[in-house]
Amino acid sequence: MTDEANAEFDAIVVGSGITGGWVAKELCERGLKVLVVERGRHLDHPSPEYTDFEAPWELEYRGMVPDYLAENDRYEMLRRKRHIYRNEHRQFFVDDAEHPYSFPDDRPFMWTRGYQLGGRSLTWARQCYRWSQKDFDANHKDGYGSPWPIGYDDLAPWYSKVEAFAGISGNADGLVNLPDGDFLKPWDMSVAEEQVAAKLRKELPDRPMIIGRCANLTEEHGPSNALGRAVCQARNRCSSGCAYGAYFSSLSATLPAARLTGNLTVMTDATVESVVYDKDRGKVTGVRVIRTAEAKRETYSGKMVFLNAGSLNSVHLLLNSKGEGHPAGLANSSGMLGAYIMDHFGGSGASGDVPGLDDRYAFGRRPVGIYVPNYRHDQLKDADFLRGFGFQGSAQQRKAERPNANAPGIGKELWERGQKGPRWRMSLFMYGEMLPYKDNRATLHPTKTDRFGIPQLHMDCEGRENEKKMRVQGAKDAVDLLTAGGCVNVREIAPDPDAFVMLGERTHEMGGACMGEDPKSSVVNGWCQTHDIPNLFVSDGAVMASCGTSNPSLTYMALSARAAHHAADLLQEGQL
Amino acid sequence: MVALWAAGSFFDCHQMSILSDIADLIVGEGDWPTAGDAGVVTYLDQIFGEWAGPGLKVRLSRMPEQLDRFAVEQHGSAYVRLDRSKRSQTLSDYDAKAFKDREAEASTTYREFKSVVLKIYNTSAEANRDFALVPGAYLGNLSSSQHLELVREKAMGFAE
Repeated sequence: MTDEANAEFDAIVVGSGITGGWVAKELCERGLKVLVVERGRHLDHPSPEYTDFEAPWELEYRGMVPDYLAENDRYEMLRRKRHIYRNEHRQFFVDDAEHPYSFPDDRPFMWTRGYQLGGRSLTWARQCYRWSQKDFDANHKDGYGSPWPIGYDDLAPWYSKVEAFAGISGNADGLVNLPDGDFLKPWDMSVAEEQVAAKLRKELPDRPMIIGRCANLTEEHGPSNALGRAVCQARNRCSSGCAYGAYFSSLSATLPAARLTGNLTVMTDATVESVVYDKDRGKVTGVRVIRTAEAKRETYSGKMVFLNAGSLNSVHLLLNSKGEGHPAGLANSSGMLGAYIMDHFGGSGASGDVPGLDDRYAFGRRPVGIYVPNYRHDQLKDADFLRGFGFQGSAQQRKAERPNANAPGIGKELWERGQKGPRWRMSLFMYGEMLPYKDNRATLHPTKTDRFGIPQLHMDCEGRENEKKMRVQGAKDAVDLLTAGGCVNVREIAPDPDAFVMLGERTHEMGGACMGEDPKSSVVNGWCQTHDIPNLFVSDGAVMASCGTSNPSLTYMALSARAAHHAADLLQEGQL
Repeated sequence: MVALWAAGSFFDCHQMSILSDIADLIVGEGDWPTAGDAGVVTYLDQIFGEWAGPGLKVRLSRMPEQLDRFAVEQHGSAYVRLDRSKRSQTLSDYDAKAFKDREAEASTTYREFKSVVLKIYNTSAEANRDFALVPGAYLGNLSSSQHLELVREKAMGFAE
């Protein structure tokens, strides 16, 4: 037995990603002894695995994912997302062949995972948006999913808390649908984005285009500087890891802060197999862990357990913690564990040339784009769907100095192909809010298991008619936006209206242990505390009752910080 | 006649010669570095043994022969024996066919090769003289001279 296995912790946190880091930090700072269990390997910050200081010609295989992996069906997710991830990021992502999951042949699901200390907080898109009250009202308004038991006012102080620590850049835009936060100075728009945004303010004032808000430091920032984090150098190499610590991650920020308290123990290479439940006390007492290198099983004890393994892994863990009296999984008296799996979806948008700026240039690689927040909360006349969508995108200089690797033509013809048209081109990509469907489910596969004999997670979910209709409208709206913004040669990006809407593509999978007031229809209460078991908490994306349209990480962080303090209060009061 | 190359660590001398010639024609010549300047096929040869899967290795080894057959159909001679002008015309036609008839194996192989050639080229130091590893800031509205000044100051391989 290890020392940790003999010890009893005040809290065990499963997962070290963006929410696990926050829970660990807040609990440690409240004086609790915390064990963080991470299934992946240990990493330091900065890590020798970071590739951010390698020039393109110095990268292994020049950033091309090895072809032999494709021929062996490995790293399928990474290869499919080749527009954003390259070989220099591969070490931070899971090989699907090593960590299999299951889905019906005709309803694929894309699961992006990063198993290392810090999890996906090393590779997240860093976009940070507060939800508005309209987002929290959505389920109540149209009757889909479990109504949120909390609203914007409950979360606002916690948004402020996490923003103050993480360092979020942004502009105070004064939008009802996208509340302002406590921001560092915003990134500049490019001259082309400024031009389009200005025209939109005039032509379509209900659809503002703003600079994205993100967790990259744009100026000196006390709490970050104290941890050795420095100002972003506009390299846009974030997914390679950042030696400057310029973007927020649990590896560079929350875990170091938790360590400073002296209350943190971190155990890596340890997969939590199940949560231990004492049916006589009606409480959890710890977790069963597999030390992956030795395939050795151990049990760790804690007064409370927080699940922050990432939405689907937290659900997986609860489903696999079934036992006497709870045959369908732990904290599942409602039968809703695994239900309401959601993701943002896209597939439509538009691009267009921004004229009149051929003599203007940009320098540096900005790590964020522009944002058009959801303007469709209220039913507009042309909407034949529920909920709404927003857009993300950017206007960039045409890369005329490089030939396109996938275009026809050779020699001069190939080069000239990239030099046609104005210097600046703008693209918009839709981010839609899908409805929460009870039947979009994660379950345990009845026969397939992983290398430790743990049943594989089976994902059976898809976007439906509402999402398909929204996608069609998204393409039309994108064209309207660019046209109103003065773009020319506007091209619609519109998939086949009946094409399958796959979940997981946006890496915003959420739900499965949804929050709600009613224990009969939800898994956790407004404090991320499971209805069934008072000392068991889930505070990652699994608790989301609806998915909104904004990138969800800031909301996950605020929910986690809030839940951690509530749990610490309960422990202090002797209620756990 | 194509210029002859020595055997590499993966490709034999015939393959190196043809692939280098094709890469040079794809990238072309102008006020930019050639594929040869950027060492494209030399680099591909260095990594190909471990980077490529068995399927691509087989497919790419067939490509010179497939191009030869096409050249014989077009000009009555193997690709390697054609003068540069005819090789360029042959490859241009072959390229157009590969993008038109996308399903044929020969088309797929050629497009794969072309894509890899251009990725290697586009990531070479020679083609990235203006690359700034650490720009330091983002400025989105610069005149040409302001932009050039920053490139001069920050780019790793900048040369007047």
